Amino acid sequence: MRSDEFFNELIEKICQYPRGSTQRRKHMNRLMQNIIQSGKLWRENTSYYEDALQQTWLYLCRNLCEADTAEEPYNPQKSSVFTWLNSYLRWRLRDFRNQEQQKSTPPADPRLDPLGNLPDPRDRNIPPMLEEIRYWIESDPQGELRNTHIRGRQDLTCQVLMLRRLPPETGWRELEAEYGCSMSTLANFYQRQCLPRLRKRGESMGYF
Amino acid sequence: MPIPREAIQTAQQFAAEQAHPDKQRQVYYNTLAVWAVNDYCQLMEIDTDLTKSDSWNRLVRLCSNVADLEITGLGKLECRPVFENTNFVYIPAEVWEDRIGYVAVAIDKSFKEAALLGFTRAATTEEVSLSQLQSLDELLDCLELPVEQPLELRANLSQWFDNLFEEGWQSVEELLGSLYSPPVAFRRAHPAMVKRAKRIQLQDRSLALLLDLNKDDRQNVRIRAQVYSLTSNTPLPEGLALMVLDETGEPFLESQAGTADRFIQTKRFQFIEQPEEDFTVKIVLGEESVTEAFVVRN
Repeated sequence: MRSDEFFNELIEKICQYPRGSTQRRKHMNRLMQNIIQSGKLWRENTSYYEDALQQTWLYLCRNLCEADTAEEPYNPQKSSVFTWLNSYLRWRLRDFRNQEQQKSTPPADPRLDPLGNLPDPRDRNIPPMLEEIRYWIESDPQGELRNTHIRGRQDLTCQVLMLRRLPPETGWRELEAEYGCSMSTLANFYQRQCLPRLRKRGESMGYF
Repeated sequence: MPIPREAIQTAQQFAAEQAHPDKQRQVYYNTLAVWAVNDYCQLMEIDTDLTKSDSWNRLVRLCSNVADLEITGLGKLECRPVFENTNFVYIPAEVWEDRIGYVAVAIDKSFKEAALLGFTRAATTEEVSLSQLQSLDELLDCLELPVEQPLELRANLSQWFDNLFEEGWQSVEELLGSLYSPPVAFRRAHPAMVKRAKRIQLQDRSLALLLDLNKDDRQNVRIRAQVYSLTSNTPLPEGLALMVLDETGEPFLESQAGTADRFIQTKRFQFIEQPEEDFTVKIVLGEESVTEAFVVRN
């Protein structure tokens, strides 16, 4: 069990390094790990706990040495770092609790069966984007996808690979065995030649 | 890192776009992993840009198993989820290139916490054992913004043997034509030999940098660099220097042009120690120089 002294010494060390420096980050990392391991941070089992905890970590990082959002930075003379953090954490938790209480029906925790709540894709039509892209790849109006291929392998075109990698995607190992071309060559070609064309297509279609 | 509700909602939203249950699950976990690393970067005051990340791009997400996070000024960091009861992190082949590195993120089954388990700079296999990962300190070292160094495009010489060449690297015949004097043997293409050339401008002289690679029996790549004058009937300028620097920037080979050299070259060199080796070729004329960066994967 680490003592308060240990934490204060570590904090002093952190504050000696300039902001944004790698040394400061590494020591901040160590501090956070030790805080977690101490088990002294307030815990509760509410749906908003993690939201509040993330805000608390941000508070720690921004106000430990310099006061970014707090009125003054952490002061070891006033309290231990745990008291300081827990006080902030519990204020945030209170805010969330008040928000929930103001709603007539508090929202359900999205974590409860998160993937189970998704509509089964087989129950509905395949989403239009997938079909649109499949159509674009197959029709390849400018012949660009057909004509872009791995050097020395005219059969391995962007058109072929993109169709195989559309969901349900064929694994790279399988493609390697099927085409007798190394996985890294296939994937590298896909990443560097085919995906950029896909991105360009997306931009022209106004997808983003 | 704690997983806030907004992360879950975003992951669900992205997953809902997918048509197949496996792909839904893939996107769901990838999104949570990227979110966790993004939050971590925020704590460490490392600038990120989700809008430039493929993982946040609906179309690319659909067609690729990608979980990248764009780190401003440095490139993409891949954030791969680690599933319960497994001791490896899965890194799909389509993200093996153009990445600062890979962070393994374990997402607990209650979806409350995402643990950043470790980091690796390179991926050459789809399954990386967790025991091979390095600590986050290594990640933080990689995320250090270099002072005044532009993001270099490093030519990947190992891929030259697969006929994948970066822009600017042409066949020697194309660039040099009759100016090139090949060694007497081997004028035919040979699978374990590759030669490519790139045009270099230095103080309004047109030059060509040539890299001549071959693989020995043990698959070690042996390299020789040459510089040719591209202006026929004009030799290289006297004092032109060709240097090879190791990954720390230390020169270990150098060659200089005399009064009437059509070309200069270095001795053949190779790297055998690390699985991945970076080096730079530097051509110097007076006050000016041009550098080209390379990587070899053994």
